[in-house]
Amino acid sequence: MSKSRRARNRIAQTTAFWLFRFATYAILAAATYIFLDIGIKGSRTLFTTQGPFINVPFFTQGPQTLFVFEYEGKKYTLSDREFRAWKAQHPVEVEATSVAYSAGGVWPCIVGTGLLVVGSMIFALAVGICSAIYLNEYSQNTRSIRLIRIAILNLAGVPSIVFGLFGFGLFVIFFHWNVSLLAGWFTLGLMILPAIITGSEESLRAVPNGLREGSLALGATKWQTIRKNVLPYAIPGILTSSILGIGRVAGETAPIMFTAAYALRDEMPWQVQHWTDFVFQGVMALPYHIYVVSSKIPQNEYTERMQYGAACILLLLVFAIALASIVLRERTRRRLSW
Amino acid sequence: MLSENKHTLGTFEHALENLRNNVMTMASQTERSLNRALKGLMERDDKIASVAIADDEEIDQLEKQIDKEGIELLLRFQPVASDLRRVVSAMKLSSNLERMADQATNIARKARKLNKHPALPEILLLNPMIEHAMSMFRDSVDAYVREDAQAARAIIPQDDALDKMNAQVSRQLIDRMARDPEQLRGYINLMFIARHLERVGDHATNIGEDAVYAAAAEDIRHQQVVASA
Amino acid sequence: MVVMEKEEIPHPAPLLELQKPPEPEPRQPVMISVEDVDFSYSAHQVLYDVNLEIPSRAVTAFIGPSGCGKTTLLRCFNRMNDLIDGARITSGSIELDGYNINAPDVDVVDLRRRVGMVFQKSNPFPKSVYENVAYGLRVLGATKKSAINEAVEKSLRAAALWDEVKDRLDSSAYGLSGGQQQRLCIARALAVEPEVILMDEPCSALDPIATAKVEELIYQLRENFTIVIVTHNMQQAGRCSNYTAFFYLGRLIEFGSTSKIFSNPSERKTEDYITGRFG
Repeated sequence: MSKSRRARNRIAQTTAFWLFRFATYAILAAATYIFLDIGIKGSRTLFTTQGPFINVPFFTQGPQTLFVFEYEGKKYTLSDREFRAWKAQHPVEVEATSVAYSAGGVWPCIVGTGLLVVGSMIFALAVGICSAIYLNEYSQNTRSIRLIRIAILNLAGVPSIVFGLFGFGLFVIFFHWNVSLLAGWFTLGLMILPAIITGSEESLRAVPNGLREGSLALGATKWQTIRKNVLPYAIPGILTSSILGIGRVAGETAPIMFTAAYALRDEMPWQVQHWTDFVFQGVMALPYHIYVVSSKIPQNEYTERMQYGAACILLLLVFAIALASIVLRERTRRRLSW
Repeated sequence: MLSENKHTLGTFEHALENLRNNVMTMASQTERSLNRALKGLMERDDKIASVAIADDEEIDQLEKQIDKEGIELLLRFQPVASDLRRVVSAMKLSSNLERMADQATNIARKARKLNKHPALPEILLLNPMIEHAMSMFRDSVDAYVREDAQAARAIIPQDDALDKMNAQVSRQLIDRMARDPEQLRGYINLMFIARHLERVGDHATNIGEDAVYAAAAEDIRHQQVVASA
Repeated sequence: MVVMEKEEIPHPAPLLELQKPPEPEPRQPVMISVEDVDFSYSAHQVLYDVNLEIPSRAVTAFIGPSGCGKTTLLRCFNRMNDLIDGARITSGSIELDGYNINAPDVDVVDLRRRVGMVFQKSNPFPKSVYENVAYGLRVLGATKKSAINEAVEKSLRAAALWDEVKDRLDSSAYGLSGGQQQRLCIARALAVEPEVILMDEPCSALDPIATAKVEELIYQLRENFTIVIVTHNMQQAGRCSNYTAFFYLGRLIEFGSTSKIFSNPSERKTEDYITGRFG
């Protein structure tokens, strides 16, 4: 090989290497920036400098209006309840500017998001795993099955706002469920169904065929084979695909905007008249709350605190669920590895 | 059932070819030894008889060589069917040929002893036996090389004829011995030579039987009545 | 009046009796009977007019070059070919112990219990040794622990594996060596008490010592089971089997006792194949 070609090869190799490295670190840098930004600003809301070091009211109260005023030279920022209590103690006229949603906490939103995630994941996993089993284990490769697969892929590309509209039209209006948990569950579930189905199918496909053949050759039926010898080993992969689903479900705003979320609700979800009403009630949700606080009201330093606090909690919630999923996956993988 | 195809494994084909060539070489050397010994006898030529005796060494080495190659073929290539029969019969043939060469040596030695004394006319009694035995030998080797079971089977009954000739020659010589005791030593040597020729015929028969085994997978040894092919 | 004599009505000539070929060996009871079988994968035919009788309680070896159809025929015996789209017997029938295994009322699941299979690449399940052997029993519905324990031990002993694993029944099957894994698969197949065991090149992935152990096992199993083994290794067929069937391009060329096939086969193609003159 000539010297110049060797030199060119070396340059090409080095360039490629540094390009790939740069791309990777750029992603890392962007992610770090986002997490740090939210983390730092959010922790200003979430953590305090004294006492239990956690801003307990933020986690335990609903959003309230903030009143800012000056009295005797001091600046007060009080939530609605505190203001009324203060006014009871100090019966004076003060000029207070009120900022909506900027006091109190996001406890109902946390609960609402949690319920939405749990419900929609149950729906998506149930339907998704069953579909994946049917598509991978039972179906022949006919034209109609190929069409179904194409349909599932297309479903993955549908914008979330369209899902929201679909959910609104079908579940809220046509089924008369109104804005409810049920509508939110189905809408969100349908949104991540393609990802779950694809992920589950991949996991099922990854189980070696020798396990199926060996089981069938011993005189097991097809369902026995799937139940005992295929599905258990596909579970780790299915859990992995569900982790991504959880992130999306927790954070999507558009699907729940018309179908499940309220901007403000006084009752907690468990405070219902009749237990059947539980699924037919709407809830507050973290991403929607962030949206409301960010766009529906004028911005100032107080609203910013709430936004970042809520965003930080959302991130932490997703991390926690993802961590739980990873831990579960590792434990099942160790038990069932091949 | 000869196959025209060659073995896919070249080394195997080559080894079998080699073994076959060695057997043919040994057969021709044995034939040469016998011819020389008989020439030394009939033409009273001591020199050629000594050459025949010396050649025995080479033939012994060939027997060892063939056996060694045969064993190596068996362990390396694990031959089956016709290949296995060829190898086994080649090894058996080498042993028969070696014994034939020993008979040649014996004939040559007896020839040298006879040559020390004046010629005996009774030596001509051996001619028919010589012809018969040598033709059996040539036919048997030929049948083996050509893998012709039919020709090989035809040799077996010839051994009976040779045995009868031997018995007859013995009787005639004993008769002479009674009449002419002076030449006793000579007559006894002639009887021994007839015996050696009869052994040559036996070995040729064995070769024929091995040829039938190699070609047709049939073991025709030790049969009282063998139907001629 | 002329008395007409009753004409003798000539009897029709007796039908020519089918000449029976001389039977060389005493007739063995037949376990699997293959009659005029043609087999195709979709449009591609792979078996042509195969006629074969697998004797019971003996080892039959299928030999032949790659792609000759021997594995396909083997997989027909327990209908594993049903798993492949478009694979079907296009004519002829296969009978197990007198019953057509492709009849519509046949329970395939039960057939597969009666006809066990050991695969070329050993496929122990990612479970413990105990659970591997117990799998077939559990699938059949066994629940009593003592019964399962007993059956597991019996199968492992029959597979000559008990002494090596009795202290590690709960360890993963993947911790065993290749030869042990294959014997575990044999034990697993034995646990459901089949009548026939099909083996598809069982030793092709094993070292010589493991191969020897499996071959010894096959030799001992022949007393109680009918075994059909597909093998590429002719020395193995020579060592292990009582009968050998030679296949070429989808046809059965020759079937006979192993000693006959390997010492003096009747067909030229068989001789060429076993002496290595093919191609």
